[in-house]
Amino acid sequence: MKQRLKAFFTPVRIFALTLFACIILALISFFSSTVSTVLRTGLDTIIVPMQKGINSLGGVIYDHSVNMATRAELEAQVEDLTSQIEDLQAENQLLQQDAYELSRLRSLYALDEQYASWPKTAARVIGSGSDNWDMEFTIDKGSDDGMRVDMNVISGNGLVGIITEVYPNRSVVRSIIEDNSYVSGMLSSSGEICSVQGDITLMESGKIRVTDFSADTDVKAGDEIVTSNISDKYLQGILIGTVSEISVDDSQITKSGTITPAADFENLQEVLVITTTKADLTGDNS
Amino acid sequence: MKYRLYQIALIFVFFLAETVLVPLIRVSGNGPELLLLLPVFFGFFGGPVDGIFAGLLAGILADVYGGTLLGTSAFLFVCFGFLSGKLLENVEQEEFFFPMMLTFVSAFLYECAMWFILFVLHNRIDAEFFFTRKILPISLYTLVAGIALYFPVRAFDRKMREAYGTGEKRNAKNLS
Repeated sequence: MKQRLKAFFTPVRIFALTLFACIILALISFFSSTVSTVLRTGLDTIIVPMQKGINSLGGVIYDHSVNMATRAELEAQVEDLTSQIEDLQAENQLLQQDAYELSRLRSLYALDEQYASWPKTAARVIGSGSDNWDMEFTIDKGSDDGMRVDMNVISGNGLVGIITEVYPNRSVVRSIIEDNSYVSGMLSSSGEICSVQGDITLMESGKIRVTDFSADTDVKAGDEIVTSNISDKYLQGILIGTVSEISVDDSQITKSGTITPAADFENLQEVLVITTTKADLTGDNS
Repeated sequence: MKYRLYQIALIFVFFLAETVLVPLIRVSGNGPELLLLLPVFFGFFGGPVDGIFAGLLAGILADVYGGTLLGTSAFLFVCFGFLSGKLLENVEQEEFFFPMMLTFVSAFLYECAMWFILFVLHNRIDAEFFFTRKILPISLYTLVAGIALYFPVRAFDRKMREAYGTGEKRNAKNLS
């Protein structure tokens, strides 16, 4: 009996059965996300500690190699940095005066929402989406640390992305340079609305696409684009990037071009997650 | 049975390498598909069933952590594992060229399938961009990674076979 059972399952039949099982799996996970969530959570308990371990090992090796820099290089760096500090101090004086004026004007308009004052949590990038086709990456904080879907993620000065999936000890962030990412943006100086989208054809040159400015908008290279007030997922005023080129479309009704993002996607290691979501602020939980 | 555990462990190691190390060695956004190498290698070393097994496991891992629907990469990897087993069934175990060629072809077909599912079906074809900047570079990089990793994986596989015996034997004349 056992022999006949073994003889029945020829490689070709096993192949057909496995393919059939894969299709069933795809259909199940298409219609219900519980299967993939359960599977991912289960694998996480094994995978995430290993990923964290490798990352910290890499960090130790990197720090060690940095310490090997020669003394001359370090001295040159110190000199360079000292002169930079002097320049920055002078600039800072001027900016402080502007800052006083700005805070007075702001309180006049009763704008409490400045993104410097939103609560943030630091997180580390521990892995990137396991393929060549998207820029999803994983951070080491999950629902156990208070992460929720739709929290905005920033790094340094710029918008990096938004949390799309949350598991107990990790979260998945969809970055704004990804092909299916869409952010409602606006020109920082005038508030004119535009759309900011990732595009796989621009991804390796490090740029993203901006579209839908109305043709009479005064926008030029070097202007800053921030998240708009009408976005339903992104908090207002987070810097997305600066315009690199802009031109009127064939339709003559809109302008579009490309933006260089403010965040450095090549070297993403630590990010900040803003723990207030847009839905929290608008009171809209749909 | 123990032999299967070593196969599973190797697949997990490749998976960790894919998520943690590959981002560091990406060239203009393209990295090798390390997980694809294992179904092809195991198919060659152990026959179609080993290839299917490795393909299923590697495919599910690729789907769970990648952006695709659970089962798409699994489906494709299982195909490549099976094909590797079937097509290379009568090839000597010392052969190097045929497995490498199959690695390249599998990577090429896999990337074409991804392009098809993700872009062509949304009517964003852009063939020139995808072939020259994505599909070919990734396939070549995977081939290079395959060449680099083939001998270590084969040595590891042989050691495991000697120590723990095989699950599914290949043709008698090709026992390593």
